[in-house]
Amino acid sequence: MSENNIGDKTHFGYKTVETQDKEKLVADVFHSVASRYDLMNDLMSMGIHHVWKRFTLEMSAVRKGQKVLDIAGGTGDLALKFSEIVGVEGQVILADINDSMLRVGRDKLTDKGAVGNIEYVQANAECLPFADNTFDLITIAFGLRNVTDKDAAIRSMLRVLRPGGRLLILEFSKPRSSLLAKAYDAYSFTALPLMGKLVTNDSESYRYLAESIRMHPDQDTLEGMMKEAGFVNTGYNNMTGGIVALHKGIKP
Amino acid sequence: MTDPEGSVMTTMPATAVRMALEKAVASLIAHDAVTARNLQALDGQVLQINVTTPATTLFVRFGEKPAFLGTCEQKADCELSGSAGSLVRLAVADDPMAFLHQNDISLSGDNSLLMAASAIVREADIDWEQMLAQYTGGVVAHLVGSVFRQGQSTIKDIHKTFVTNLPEFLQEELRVLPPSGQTEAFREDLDELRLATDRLQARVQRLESDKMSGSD
Repeated sequence: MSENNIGDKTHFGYKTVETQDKEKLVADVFHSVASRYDLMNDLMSMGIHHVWKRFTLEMSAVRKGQKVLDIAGGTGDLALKFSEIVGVEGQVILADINDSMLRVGRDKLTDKGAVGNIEYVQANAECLPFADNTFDLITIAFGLRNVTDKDAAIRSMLRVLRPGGRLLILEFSKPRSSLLAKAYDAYSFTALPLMGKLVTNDSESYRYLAESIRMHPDQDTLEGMMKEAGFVNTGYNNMTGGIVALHKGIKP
Repeated sequence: MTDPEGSVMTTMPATAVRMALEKAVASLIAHDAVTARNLQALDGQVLQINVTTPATTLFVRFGEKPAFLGTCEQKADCELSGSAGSLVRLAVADDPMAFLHQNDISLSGDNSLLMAASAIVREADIDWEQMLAQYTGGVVAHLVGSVFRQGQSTIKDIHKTFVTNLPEFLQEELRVLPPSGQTEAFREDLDELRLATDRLQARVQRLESDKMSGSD
């Protein structure tokens, strides 16, 4: 079930690159898009990403006083909601490997008054800098496909979760209908780069986005990777015909 | 565990509706500090609403900003079940407990949560003028508010006058209903006639029994 890295090479969209180079290449993409990230998300998904995140929030079953880690939290949409729910007794950590995204997220959440129970950490998902058994909930929304070693990241998340804690992975996946897949392909490889060009003057980053989605493991493969890492009660919910899937696993 | 299709409440449209509902409620509460404080007192309590027709379940987790959820792993403090129509009427009923007894709604768990939530909804006093002022400015909002309040007061007066004058109009002007004095007199005559009939019946019975005993 493990993801196939070819020797010391891996994929960056459709390109094959040296494993150690992928992190920098991905970082460059997000440095480029950070300032317009929310606007582009709204445009590209036609606002549906709010519904996907809302569903993730409902499936998190997060409660007052809990400790939550939002990995690749980007501009903090989920962290903001978690911060409201866990209250002053709880804690939310917004982690992102990219300092530009983290800065945009921190400014946005502070402007919205979310302070006191949120901390910001620049961290690599493959080697999370937290003690074992720390969090009640870990979420990673639209971030796993950019991680170089996804198996290592899932194992790292398992390590820092408390027993009984929950991992939620919200990520682009494989559409269930071939017709939808064709329409989605046409949209991804024509409209997305065009929007990227018009809004951020960067079509390449959005071409990478479309390519990286195609290279990401499908629903069943990702569920298998979670099981292999040690998660139990794993499963997934398809959203918007499988364009996006929410995977869930519990640490035994 | 895998749910490739999704149940009704986990579909995207249902999630979007709950999001919109939650946002609308949050923006209303933002203009009513008292309601926000009252809701805060119910923080963390969960009301489960099972709608029978159409079959669907909604969870309301109370707090300063109530959350409307499709799934909830926390045990509900209070559970309401009934048809959509009955539940909507319950939401606007002046006396929810009396309404519950008369309709096809079942309630289980802590009914004080329902009572408290119902009281908060009834007593909510949204500052519409402040909401409008965000878009039009204070002067226009106050003008619209004054016109609205004046209109509301006029409608209340018209309603009161109508209710006061309607009986007199129907009885005295149109004469489609008898005047209340006449009805009262008729009722008294009817009572008197009933009593006289009863007395006559008793007398006839007594005379018949006297006649029967005389013939013996």
